[in-house]
Amino acid sequence: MLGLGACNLEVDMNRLIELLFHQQFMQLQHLQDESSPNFVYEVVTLYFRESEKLLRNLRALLWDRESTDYKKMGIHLNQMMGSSSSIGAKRVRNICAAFRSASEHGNWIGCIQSLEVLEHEYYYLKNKLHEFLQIEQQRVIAVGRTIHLSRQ
Amino acid sequence: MAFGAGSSNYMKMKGMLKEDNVYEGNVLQLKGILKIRDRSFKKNLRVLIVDDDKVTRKVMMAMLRDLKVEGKEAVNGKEAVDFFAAGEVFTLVLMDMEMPFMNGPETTRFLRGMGVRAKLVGMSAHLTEKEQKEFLDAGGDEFYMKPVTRTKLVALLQAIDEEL
Repeated sequence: MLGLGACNLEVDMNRLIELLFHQQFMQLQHLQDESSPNFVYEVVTLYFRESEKLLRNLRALLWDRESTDYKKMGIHLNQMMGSSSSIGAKRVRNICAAFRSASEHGNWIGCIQSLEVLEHEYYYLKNKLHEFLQIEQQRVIAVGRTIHLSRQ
Repeated sequence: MAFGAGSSNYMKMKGMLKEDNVYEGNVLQLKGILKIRDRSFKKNLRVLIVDDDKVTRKVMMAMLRDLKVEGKEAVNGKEAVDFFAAGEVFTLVLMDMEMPFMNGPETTRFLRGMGVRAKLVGMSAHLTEKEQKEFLDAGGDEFYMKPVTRTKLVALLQAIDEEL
């Protein structure tokens, strides 16, 4: 079984997950079963890949103030809002909404500032998700050992 | 906890379920893991997920599989139109509003023009009244904010199941 230290860490992690995520994230965990044992990992990894592509595109669009394509920016932001909503990343989603508002007004400074906030929040989320997935993996391994021992 | 007759529920404790199905754990672990097994749908429902976002499509398709409902995905409105044009039949289409090539309202208008009678439900992470009106005026039936949760999806499918 997990030690007391690891249990406390898990409780803290659950609290953090509640803070960062809409209940939708819990629903992703429900969808993980014997037929899709790595579902959460797969979805989260896909989210990381797609989000980082979008963040790179957004930064590239803001490179030249004179030729910023705000329409394309809106498309990228909409996609990031959608994927963030789908995994329950509510804070990232909300920042995207504010960013989108700046882009709709052609507010270049506002967009630059929003991008910085978005990148910060996204990478914070990514770090926490990595930790969460590691704890989950450790728990699965520990349980496997526990079941094995109890059956001996 | 007790639920109404005809339903069943179980608690799934990740890796902590004892052989006699007795759970030991704290409230935080309990939260979010209660699963209610929904009643099965009477009709063979077939759902099309139309969204350019891979994450949304993956999650929605997994929810449909979990509910044992057949699902298919289209990456944009044009692909959705192509499926219908090829003779495929769906009972429900869940469609994102902003997509490349053909957005939600455009796709809806086109499908209705083709005589498609499936329920067309719009989804968006960024809802404006203007978007919603445009979609409904184009022939859409309902509009949901993302995320479309399992609860919303079940309610939608049950309503369609009863209508058929």
